[in-house]
Formats: sequence, C-alpha cells, structure tokens
Amino acid sequence: MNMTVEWKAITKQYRSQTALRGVTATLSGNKIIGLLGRNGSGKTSLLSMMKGLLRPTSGSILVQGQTPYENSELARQICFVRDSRMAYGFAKTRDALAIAASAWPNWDADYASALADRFELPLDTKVQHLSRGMESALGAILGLASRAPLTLLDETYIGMDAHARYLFYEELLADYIRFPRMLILSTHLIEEVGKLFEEVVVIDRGTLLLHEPVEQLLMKAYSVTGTEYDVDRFTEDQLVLYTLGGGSLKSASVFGEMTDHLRKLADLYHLEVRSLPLQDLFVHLTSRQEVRA
Amino acid sequence: MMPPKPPVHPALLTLRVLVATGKPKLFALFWLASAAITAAALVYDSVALGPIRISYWDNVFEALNVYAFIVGVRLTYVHLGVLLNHGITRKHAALGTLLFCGAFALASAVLVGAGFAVEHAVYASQSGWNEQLKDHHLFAQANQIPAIVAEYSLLTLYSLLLGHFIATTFYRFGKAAGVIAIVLALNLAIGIEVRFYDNFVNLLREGSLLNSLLTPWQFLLSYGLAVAFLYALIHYMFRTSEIKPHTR
Repeated sequence: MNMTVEWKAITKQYRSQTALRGVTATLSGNKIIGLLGRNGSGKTSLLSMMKGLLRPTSGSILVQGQTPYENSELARQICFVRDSRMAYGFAKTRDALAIAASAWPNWDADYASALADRFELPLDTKVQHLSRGMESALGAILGLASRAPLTLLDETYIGMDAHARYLFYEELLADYIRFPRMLILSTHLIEEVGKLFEEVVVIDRGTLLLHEPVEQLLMKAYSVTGTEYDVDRFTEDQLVLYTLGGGSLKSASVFGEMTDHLRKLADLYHLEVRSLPLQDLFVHLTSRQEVRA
Repeated sequence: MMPPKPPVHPALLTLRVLVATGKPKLFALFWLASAAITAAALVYDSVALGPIRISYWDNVFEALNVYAFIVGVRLTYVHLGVLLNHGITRKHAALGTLLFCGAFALASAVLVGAGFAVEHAVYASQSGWNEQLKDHHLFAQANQIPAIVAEYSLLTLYSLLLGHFIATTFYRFGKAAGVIAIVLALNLAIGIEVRFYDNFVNLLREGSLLNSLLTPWQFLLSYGLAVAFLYALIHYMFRTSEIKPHTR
C-alpha cells in the first residue's frame, strides 16, 4: 500500500491559541519522514489530526483521500504512538501489548516479543511504574510491531538512554526495509536520527517552514569559514542563517544552493566550504525570522 | 505483509481494555468486601441486639451506587483515549462502552440477587428474624430474584451512565458545562428517585410525593427513558469529542 497524506491549509485553534496556521503539504510514498519543530510548534497537534483524534479548525486533512476523523476504515491503518502512561496507566506492560495485538490488523506478536527482550522491557510491571525510558521503549515496540501502513511516532525516544535509542533506530530502519510503510517521526534529536529520514517537514510556530527530501535540503545549506572580511564579502547577497566569529576568523551558515559560480568565488576568497548538518540547519532555520518570511 | 486479521469488534476491544486495566479484580474486591461487611454487621448485631428485623443486604446498593458512578467517570477519562488510539471510532467506542455498562449492571444485579437469596435463606433458618426491606422495591420478598435482577440492573446502569455523562460533559465542554451537567443529573436523579423511594421523600419533606410511588411499569419506563436520554447525550458528546494532545 502506498500511503498518501494531504494537508490542505490546516489551521488549528485552541481557544485563543493558534497551534497551526494554514499548513499545506502532500506526503506520499512509503518513506521515513522527519517532522521537526521546536516545543509547541504544533507537531503533536498535526499528528493527532492525522490520527483523527483532533479536527482541523479550518482546512482539511486527507489520508488516502479520506478524512481520518471517525473513519473506521482508516482508524486501523494509522498507529499513533504517544504518551503510553496516559494511554495504559493502570495496565501491565504485557496487557498493553495484548490490547495492541487485538487492535492492529498487521500486529506481529513474535516481533513484539523479540523487541521486548531486546529493550529488556519488564512485562509484569504496570505501565505507570515504568521509567520514562522504558515507557518510550514500550511506545517504540507498539509502533514498530503494529506494522500500520501509516505509523506516527511522537518523540518516541524521550528518556531512552543512548543504547536504547540506537537500538530503536536500528530496529526502525531494519523493519522499514522489511515492511516498507510511511513512518513519521517527530523529534528534536535530529543529529542522531536525521540520517534515517528521506524527507523532512519543518514546522515553526504553527507554520510550515519547509518540506523537502533530505538530500535536496542538505544541498541548500552550507557553511563558509575564513577571514571576517572574506566571509562578509562572500555572503553579502546571500541569506545568512547564523554567524560565528572569533579573532579574525568568521564562520557563516548560508541557506541557498552552492552554485559553480559561488564555489569559484569561495576558492578565490580562500574560504573553507562545508555542508551544514541537518541539526544545525534546523536550529538556524527555526531561530530566523527572515527565513520564515 | 501478513494478511490483515479480521477486525476485533469494538465492544470486545473495550472489554479487553477494561480487563487489562484491572476492572474485574476491583469488581470482585468490591463484592467480597460488601459481603464480608454485611455478614460481620449481621453477626455483631444479632449477638448484641438479638433477633434481626431488617434486611442488611438491602444497604449494599448505597455502595454499589457510588462504585458504579466512579466506574462511569473512569470510562471517559481513562478509556476514551485508549480506545481511539487503538483503531476504534468514537461511534464504536460509545457502543462498546454502553455494552460494558450493560454487562457490569447485569453482573452486579445478579450478585445483588445472589446476596438476597443467601440472606433470605439465613433469615429463614433463624427463629424470629424478619427480612424487612428498607426501601420501596419492585420485589416484596428477597427471594423474588427476577424482579431483583431487573430492578438493580436498571438502577446500576443508570448510576454508571450518570457518572459517565457528567465526566463526558466535563471532558467535552469543560468545567462550566460540567457543573451544569451535575445540576441536570441531580435533577434527573431526584425527579425519578423521589417518586421511587419513599424514604428519600421522607428525607426531603413529607407530603403529596409520598403517594406517588411508581408502579413496576412506571419504574421501568422512567429509568429506561432516563438511561436512553443520558446515553443519547453521551453518544453525541463522544462523536464530537477531540482527544487533546499531551505533549511530552
């Protein structure tokens, strides 16, 4: 199944607070997509609407051409992993897995069991007594073993130690290769998980900042380092996201494509050109008013 | 991928969620505690006061009423989000919850009936004991099990839905509407109960209402309509409820 999700001018208002403003984009194909945004940017609201837990105040959201709100056909194709403690508080971990097994048509019980072993998840402990890391591990297991055609993972790594996080990324990629589907991960830890993304959607203060394949995006940003004078000359007509200076040296992060002309110019000015890591790009983009404009 | 499993009926999934979250254990504990307290009070009073003149098991509904109300509240706050997160639509969640309430009420009523039957047998074996019932009931004797089950099924279902209705109003519309729901629910409760329980009337004031006790059919109709009214409101609120995100 090839999944398609359309956001059509979505606005979400909570009383006086606007969580999303006119978000429009189309996501299609089986791929791992990063949903990036700072705290309170509207990521969870967007994911909740895709699951049909919330309704847009205006605009529409379509999954496979249908609205997910009160759609029994779609409900079992969209797995949304969020706060497990809220969802399963009084249940034991084993029972949470049993409930999920009843709910998801493609649930792989053997895989869930293998993951529980790998994450060393205590099956007889109540979910509300799990550590934050173990609670996130439970969420990761639920999301992966559901094998839902559209799986939404909302900051699933929170509280996991580095070992568990890398285990999660490893399993995510391996399972995605075995069973391709659309996986959308909202995250802050872009440096760690960024290499998994084929596409990223960046949301800032409720507006869509960009939606690009990662490869293309990374080609649109770079940093140049050299003397302050040369860097300033080079970046004069360009969109500079961030600068860092010390002594006579200066480094500037630039948003824009590195053309042959610019490369020659950089060589001429003896500037060192590097690609900008996704994490840095995200941080600079979401802290720059000009870029949004 | 493996071929999809046939969908689990939402009512069954609701039951699975409730089982997983410990409801049967609490249910068993409630009834064991009720039986133990009733038996202990009966033994103590029979030793201290001599022959027993009233039904002790008749009081169990006071506790069942509160318990059912709390379960009704939890159905909204604990389970609505879980169900919707597991591929259940609001419409099916409302149906599954109603079926759960029906099963809970019926099981409770059967246990009330069993308690009355045991009590009736014990009283019959003791000379001078009289199982006089405290409240007005659909049954005159504690061994009329079908009438006991009918009465307590409806009363328990009503208490469950009352709690569920108030909680759902708070969840759906916020505090102000929730308070209005409490007032509405109280009015509904008093409106029916005042005509059903003569002791309740005496608590308020003696007078004309004392003469307006319901016939069995009026009782069934009144509570039946109240249950249908509450369920219709709950169903509407479920269908339009948004599950608020909890950002971590």
